[in-house]
Amino acid sequence: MYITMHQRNSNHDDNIVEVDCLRFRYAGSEKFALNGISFKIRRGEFFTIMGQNGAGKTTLALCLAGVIPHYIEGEFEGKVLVDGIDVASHTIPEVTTKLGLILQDPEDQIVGVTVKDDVAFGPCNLGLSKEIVLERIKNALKIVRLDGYEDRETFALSGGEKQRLAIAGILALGPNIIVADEPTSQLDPVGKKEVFETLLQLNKEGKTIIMITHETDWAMKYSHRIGILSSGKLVAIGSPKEILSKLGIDGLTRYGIRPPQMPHLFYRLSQKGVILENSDTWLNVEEAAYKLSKLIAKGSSKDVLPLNKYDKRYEDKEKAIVVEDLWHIYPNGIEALKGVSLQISKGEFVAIIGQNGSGKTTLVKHFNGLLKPTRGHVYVFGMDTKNVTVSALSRLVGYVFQNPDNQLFAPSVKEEIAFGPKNLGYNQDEVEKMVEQALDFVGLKGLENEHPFRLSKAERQLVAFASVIAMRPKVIVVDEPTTGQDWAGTYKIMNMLKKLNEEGHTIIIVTHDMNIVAEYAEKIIVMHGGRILMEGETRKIFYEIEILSRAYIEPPPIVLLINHLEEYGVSPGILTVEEAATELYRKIKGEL
Amino acid sequence: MVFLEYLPGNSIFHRLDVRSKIFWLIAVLILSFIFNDPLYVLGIMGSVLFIAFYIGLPFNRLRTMFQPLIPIMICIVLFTGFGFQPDYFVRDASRKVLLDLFGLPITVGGIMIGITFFIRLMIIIVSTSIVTLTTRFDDFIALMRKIHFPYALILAVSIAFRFIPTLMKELETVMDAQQARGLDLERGKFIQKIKKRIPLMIPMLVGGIRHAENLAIAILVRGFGASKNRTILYDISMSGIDYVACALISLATLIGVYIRLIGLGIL
Repeated sequence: MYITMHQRNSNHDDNIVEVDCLRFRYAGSEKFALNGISFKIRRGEFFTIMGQNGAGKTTLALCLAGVIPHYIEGEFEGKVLVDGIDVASHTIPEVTTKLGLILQDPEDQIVGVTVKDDVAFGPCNLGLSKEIVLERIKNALKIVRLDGYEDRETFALSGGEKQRLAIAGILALGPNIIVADEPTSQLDPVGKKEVFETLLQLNKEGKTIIMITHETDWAMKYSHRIGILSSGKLVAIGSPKEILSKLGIDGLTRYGIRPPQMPHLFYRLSQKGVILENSDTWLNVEEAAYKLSKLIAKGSSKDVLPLNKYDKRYEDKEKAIVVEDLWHIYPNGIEALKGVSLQISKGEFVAIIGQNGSGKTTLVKHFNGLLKPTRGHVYVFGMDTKNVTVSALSRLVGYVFQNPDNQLFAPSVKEEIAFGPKNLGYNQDEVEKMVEQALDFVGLKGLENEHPFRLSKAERQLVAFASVIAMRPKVIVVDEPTTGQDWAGTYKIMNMLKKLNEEGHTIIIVTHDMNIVAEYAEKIIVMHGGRILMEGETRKIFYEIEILSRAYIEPPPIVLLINHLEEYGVSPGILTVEEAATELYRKIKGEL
Repeated sequence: MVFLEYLPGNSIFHRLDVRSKIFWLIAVLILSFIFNDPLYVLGIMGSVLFIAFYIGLPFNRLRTMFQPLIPIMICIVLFTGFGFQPDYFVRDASRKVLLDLFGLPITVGGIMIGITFFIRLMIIIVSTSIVTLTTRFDDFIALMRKIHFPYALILAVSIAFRFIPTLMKELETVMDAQQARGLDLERGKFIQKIKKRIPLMIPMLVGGIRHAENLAIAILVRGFGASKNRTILYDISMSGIDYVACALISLATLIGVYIRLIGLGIL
């Protein structure tokens, strides 16, 4: 589904949302979470709000829905008009029929045991007649393409389905405006696509959409306008083109927004002296490839990157993890792994990718013994995991879980980090030293006596991370290092992993973020249907675009671009914007 | 968990109104408690098992629930053997002392009562399972509304039920995360084992609070409390078979009570 961007010529007075001098400070907080925000949104617009974590995006969404000031306490100033009503002087239920709010975690929005029950919740609250309620359920489920799911139990739905159900639950209330607060941040690529497409479809049908997201490429491609928040202020607002030309790549980076790859590449080229027309617009890969191809000399000689070096580099290294014909069958009969064999050498940086349900997590849980093989063997530094307990393996293999809140329990950061080393039986002095070093490594020094729950989510993630590396495992497995993180947080963690890798640790990440994989992982293991679909060096694997698509994986835009330009003599194997800029500059300069 | 599942089916028992089923449950419980002769209680158990087979109760799943209870049940049978003096019993056969342990007689009647307890426990488990397995969650919710529970409470029960699988999954993750940090849940003495639950309990508790906070917002923005007269989408109603069933259950209960009153079915 592709909606062409168009400037709307609609009447500028037809504003469906008006926010005027909005300020809000949470009770007990010193800082204003929102500090004087004014903007207007036109009827039928697709408006995206971006910005770092802590910039005030969620607070703004809660203000639009009336949750602030009616439910959450604090100091509220200014005016929010939504479809003609003043939010502050109307009750939340009155606002909900005008503006619906979708939250980040689909799990927390589902109240019904079955799909139908759940969608019914809203309209039943309104006291509509039974016929109207049933009609609305039917329509809402049809729009989010969950028709036929009426009697399904909600807990068995996938992440994407759950979030679409949440959208249906809001649609059934009949609002004209939908505010979605990072609706895709907890989802895998398939789920993301489902939810984005649903929102686009709703916009096509006339709903005004206000979406908060960290997905820059998506936002630039489909939004009519983008607003950027930073420290409670609206620092930029305009069409994607305006935002890009006004802020530039540096500006986006400054506000913690991951720059879209195509404009980023053009910007890097222009820094090198290659001037491209319209270099400040967002472009899709095909458009960018077309522009670049015109600049590159046709048929110039093809340099091939030395691809085969890699496999040799680790050939003689000690094997950290060896998996032999691993099968895992869960008690409910699901065959999660069907004969997986692989080797990971000491010192490698490996990414395991694949859609949800492909067996990634099941596989890595075998590395530290959380799961034991149904058939086959897993060896960690030569030890068969069948004969070793999880706590014994935790000495060798550290495992950082996605959500820090699933593990933080101690009353201070220090004690939290000391938990692992203590379990391993180190004495007091050693434990203290290990805690100290881990704190230092993640940059949390000075916070050791804080209560973990008083820290921000990004800091809590660092505490969880420190609590694993304090145990000094030789292998570190990180499950979805980027979920719920903004761009800055993601890179902070990834750079730490890189540093650990340079110090000799073997790093294994499980992720859906292909940009991260391209930039950090040397090797990729692609899982699909409980088997390894492909395995090898990142530079090779990412250019197997056809095969990857079978596992619903799309490499980063820069790879797709270089792939398009292969016929013009650009050598494949390029993974990052920097590499691409250097290579393309070389090619173009030959022509200039 | 067998208590919380719904077993799809279209048997007469499935089609009965939830109130008829609960009436049946109460009748079964009354009957199994007024008699203490194991033979009579066994008869009741037979009728319950008949229904259990009829609706296709998954017995293998029930077994996992029974197994941990077996040692307790054996203890009950033994202790009740000691627990009654001979003159408690009406029948001479029951007064017979099998063994006298320093003034604590094991009576035939005592053992019999122990067996009755055992069967009663089985009746309770199987009959409640029958009711929960054949009744949709919606029916229980509708029943709560019929007996005028406040809506906030009904919603709370409903959400709690909906969150069971979510929280179970979360507990698994928390256990994995702590074990990955070297927490050994298997080893250690009793007190240590309890202490080791703290790293599991706190994240679950905090997670629960976080869910509750988000849910509160989610419910509000879906119009909770908008109208005093919530739409009733699904209601329960008594039909012909319900009245027939209730009449039969009443009759059976009355006969049972009469039998008991004329002095039969006691030891």
